[in-house]
Amino acid sequence: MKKFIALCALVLGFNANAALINLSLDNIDVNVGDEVTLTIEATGLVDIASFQFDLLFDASMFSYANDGMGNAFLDSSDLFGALSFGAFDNGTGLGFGFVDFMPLTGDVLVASIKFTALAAGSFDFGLANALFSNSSFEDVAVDLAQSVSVRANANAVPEPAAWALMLLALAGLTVARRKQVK
Amino acid sequence: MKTKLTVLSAAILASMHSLPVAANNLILTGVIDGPLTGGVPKAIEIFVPQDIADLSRCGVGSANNGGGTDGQEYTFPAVAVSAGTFLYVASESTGFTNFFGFAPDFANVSAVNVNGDDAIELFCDGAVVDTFGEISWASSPSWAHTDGWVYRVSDTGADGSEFVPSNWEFSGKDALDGQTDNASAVIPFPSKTFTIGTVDPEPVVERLIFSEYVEGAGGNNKAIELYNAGTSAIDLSSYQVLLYINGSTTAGTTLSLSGSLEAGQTYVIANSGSIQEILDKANITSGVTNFNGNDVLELRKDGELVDSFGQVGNGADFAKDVSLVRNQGIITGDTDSSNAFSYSDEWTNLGTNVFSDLGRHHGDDSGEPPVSGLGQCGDSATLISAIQGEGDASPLLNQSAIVEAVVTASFPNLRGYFVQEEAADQDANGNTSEGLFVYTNSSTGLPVEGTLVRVMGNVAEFYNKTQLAQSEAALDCGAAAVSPAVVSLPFANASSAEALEGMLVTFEQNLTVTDNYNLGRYGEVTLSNGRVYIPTNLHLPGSAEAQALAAQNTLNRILLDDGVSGQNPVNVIYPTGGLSASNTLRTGDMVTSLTGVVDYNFNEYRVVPTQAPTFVQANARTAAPELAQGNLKIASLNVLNFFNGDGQGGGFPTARGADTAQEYTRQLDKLVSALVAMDADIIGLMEIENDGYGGNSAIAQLVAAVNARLGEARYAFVNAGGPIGTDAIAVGMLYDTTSVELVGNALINTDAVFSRPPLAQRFLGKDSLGELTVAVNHFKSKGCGGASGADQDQNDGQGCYNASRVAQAQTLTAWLQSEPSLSKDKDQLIIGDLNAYAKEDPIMALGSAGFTNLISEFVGATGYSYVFGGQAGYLDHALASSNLLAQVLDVTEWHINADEPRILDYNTEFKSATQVNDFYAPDAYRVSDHDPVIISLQLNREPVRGDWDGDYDVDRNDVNGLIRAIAKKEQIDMAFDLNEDGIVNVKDAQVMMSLCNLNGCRVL
Repeated sequence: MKKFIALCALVLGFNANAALINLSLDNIDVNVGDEVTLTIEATGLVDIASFQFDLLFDASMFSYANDGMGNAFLDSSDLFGALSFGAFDNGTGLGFGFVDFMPLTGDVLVASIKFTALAAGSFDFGLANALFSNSSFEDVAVDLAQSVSVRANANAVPEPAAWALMLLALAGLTVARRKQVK
Repeated sequence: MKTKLTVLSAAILASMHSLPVAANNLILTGVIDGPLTGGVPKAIEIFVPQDIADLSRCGVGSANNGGGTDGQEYTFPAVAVSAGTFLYVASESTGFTNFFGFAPDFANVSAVNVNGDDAIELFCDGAVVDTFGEISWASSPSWAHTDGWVYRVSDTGADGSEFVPSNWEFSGKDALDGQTDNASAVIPFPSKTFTIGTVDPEPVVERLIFSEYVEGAGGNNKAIELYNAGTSAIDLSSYQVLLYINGSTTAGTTLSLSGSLEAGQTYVIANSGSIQEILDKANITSGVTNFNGNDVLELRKDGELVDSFGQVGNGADFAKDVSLVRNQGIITGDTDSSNAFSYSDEWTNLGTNVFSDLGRHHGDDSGEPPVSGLGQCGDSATLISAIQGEGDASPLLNQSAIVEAVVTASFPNLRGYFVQEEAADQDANGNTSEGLFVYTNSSTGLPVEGTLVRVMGNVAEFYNKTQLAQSEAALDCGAAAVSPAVVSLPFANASSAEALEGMLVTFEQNLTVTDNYNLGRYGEVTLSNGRVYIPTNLHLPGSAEAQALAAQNTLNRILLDDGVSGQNPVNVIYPTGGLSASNTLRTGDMVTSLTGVVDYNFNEYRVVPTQAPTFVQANARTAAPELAQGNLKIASLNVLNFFNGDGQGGGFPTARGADTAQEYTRQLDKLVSALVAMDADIIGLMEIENDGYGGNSAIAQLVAAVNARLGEARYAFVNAGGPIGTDAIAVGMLYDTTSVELVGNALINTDAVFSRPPLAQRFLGKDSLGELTVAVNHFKSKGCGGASGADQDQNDGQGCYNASRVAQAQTLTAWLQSEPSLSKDKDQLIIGDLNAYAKEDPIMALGSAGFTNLISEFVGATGYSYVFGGQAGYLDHALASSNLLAQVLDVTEWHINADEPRILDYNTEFKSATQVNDFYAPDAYRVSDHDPVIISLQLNREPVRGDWDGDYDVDRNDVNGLIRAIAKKEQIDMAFDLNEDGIVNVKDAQVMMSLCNLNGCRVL
């Protein structure tokens, strides 16, 4: 990821101090049923009293821990102590909202969320509709990272006869890699 | 003609007792515009009821051609006049003398150079004491008597400065045309016939006279007949007949009478030696008839001489061999038996040995031609239906007619009686009335109901009432009966009532009292079939339904008359027991049995009851307004010109309100009673004196009086800083300090469109913690003074100034919806006297602006706050903004005023000393002419800004709710656009944080 950040810094060299929301995945190639952790970080914040933004993804392709009423359970965040902070299903992914007495400054882990891939395919996570406000109610410019993608591979489910053949074939081999199915 | 003027020297004048000149000291009794060349005589007749020492205190003026008073133009000379004198003031002398046969008392007085349409005013001590005619008029008046005369009805006057048409008899225009003198005129000026009596009933005068004397030739055929020429039966036991023989001065024979003699009947005393023909007619035989032609007779009552025949002491023959009948018209006896007697003075000689006339005295059929032409009962007569005709006026106008019909009612107060044709004599034409009023100009001697009478008189129209002016006493033709015609309202068409004029009618409906405006003034109320409503209260102006209802209303009314002429009756006889403050007759009350005769006076058909009508209090008073109780109550009341003088007991009469301190106190006590009973939290007032808010102001003293009655300083007034606008009256607002608080300042709108600027104030209800804005109004009235252009009457039923009222409505709503502080509060209530009925344009304009007519919603079609011309509707309104509408629980009109007779209000004018007390009570009823409107609200608590979860506070729960809704992209009410940038986003959550009630947005 650092390579990614450095790339961004190169591209936006003259804005090195602007606020930025960054996305990163811990795994970009998984099987269906596997988990990926998405991390959202905000850097370069100066006096942010409130913000809102959308995390766009196809919610039918991923599941995440929630309270059953659309409130996502975030795995970790620096903002749990705020007056009001949360991520909510809004039909386009998750909508994030934050407001607190103490404005944010510097770098902040907004959230890390564990998603479980539900289907095979290539899926994007993106950011949009960001509004950041300082304690004087002024809009603060924020750069949004480009979207990230994860590939979910379908799990092969062979015919029983073929499986038996495979076992036989492997019986003689000494190298066996076991896949864990989570 | 003797007059009793005496010209006295100043010294004698000074020594004479000088009576205070009150309004009764000169009475104008007649005006004549003559037919001789030059329009003469032009004169007035004046009656002097009490001695006047110096007539120069009085004078005359005429207001020519309706141009207003010319003041006192002529002053009488300083002469003394005595009670009972008639004075004549004429424009010249010759014509008057030629016409009347005597000279006027005051000639060449230009002030009486009148033409029949000029009003006459009599002055004494500089004030008008009597009046004929209206001093100002725009078009030729109905009382004009060009070439005719007017004469005051006996026992009326003086009328002060007010012309009272019902106190005058009119000859009609041109009644004297072609006449050369009064004595021979067809309708002569009834000079010197005015009488003014006392309130005591006229004493019954007994008139027993000698009516016939028979002294037969040869034999003893002698008789003397007595006649009761009076109007009631005579007890004969007080009377004696005395015979003086051969010049003796002491009576030789005395007969004491006994028994009773009915009016118009004869009593025959015959000589026992008379032939059978005489004896058959004798009531008694007696030796008092032993006269021979030179013997004198006396009739005495209790020793007092009441009639005589002959000269006591004179023994010469004077009535021998003759049958003498006393002339018709002689009704008083010769009370001097000592003077010379000649029978030809008062008696007619029927001849010798004529006995056939005994037992009757004139008026009986006998083959003798009747002296008067009246004929006998059963002779031909004119049918009443022919006299009445199909139209308003009689086809036999000014002709003499004889009518034979049944007396249905006699009314001494109306100086006449009603007759109706027997069933057999009624025609089949429903358009011709079978009844007729017979005017006798006398309150005594009227025939009894249930009598068939034969009466002769002139057919006349008295202000469109067909009547017969009786020319001589009617004949009694026996008992008879007619059935009343059954009538129901509404009448079928405009001529239905005319077909009943003069007839006995009965109503089988229960009738509703729909107008009592003149109950105190004339003793009359209007009756209708059910309640009558203003057409534009129920239907759009100009619509077919409105026009149809207006037409229906004119057919759905008849007056209930008290049968007494004149105004301000001492006894208002309706309802049963007489009117008083505790015995009222409200519109909406009912008459459940009514039988009487239909009369027509002052352009109205009336029923004069022949049996006391039955009244039912179907619309009884209520002690307090009745409506569901919410958490806030608002009232609106027009207080009918509440002016308090200078606030320190002086300053009366006021410009528009009380004329005396006493009237003010009476008005104040009633108003305090009404306000206390309404028990409202906010009260809007109209027609309060526009004198600001100082300690002596009307509103300040009203509030002080209310609080004094309550025993606590509960109410306060909304202070707009000073007088509102420039009208003499203004709107105002009171509020209960224990239940509401003011929010912000009072606001007024001084836009020139308003006659009386509206006043708006925002309130917080302490109980509900809700807020609302009340705007109190008084739109321009419907009176036409000064109206021009579109404000003139458009003949659509809305009266004048409708255009102004619409503009006022539009300006009001624009103000409420755009003025910065007013428009913030969406709960707005418009109240006040808008001078527009429910369906009229101004109310429709308020509806178009989003304000709902609450009376229409909660009371409906039977709502009213005002009665005008016998029609009910509401000019007093309550309209709610759409936001407030859902919080309105109930609305009512408290009917304490519009239904009550105005004579029960605080005023003291036109009331006798007894009535000033009996017609007043310090209660709420008739405190005004408008009813109050009461609105009951269940006001919602005022929403707290930033309160997301509706628990009337702002804490972290609300912040979380907003953040969540923003993140979830939910539709959010713009009430949460707390920074008012047109969008709801996290910045508004930032603002919400600052609204939290507790630190850290803690939850309580």
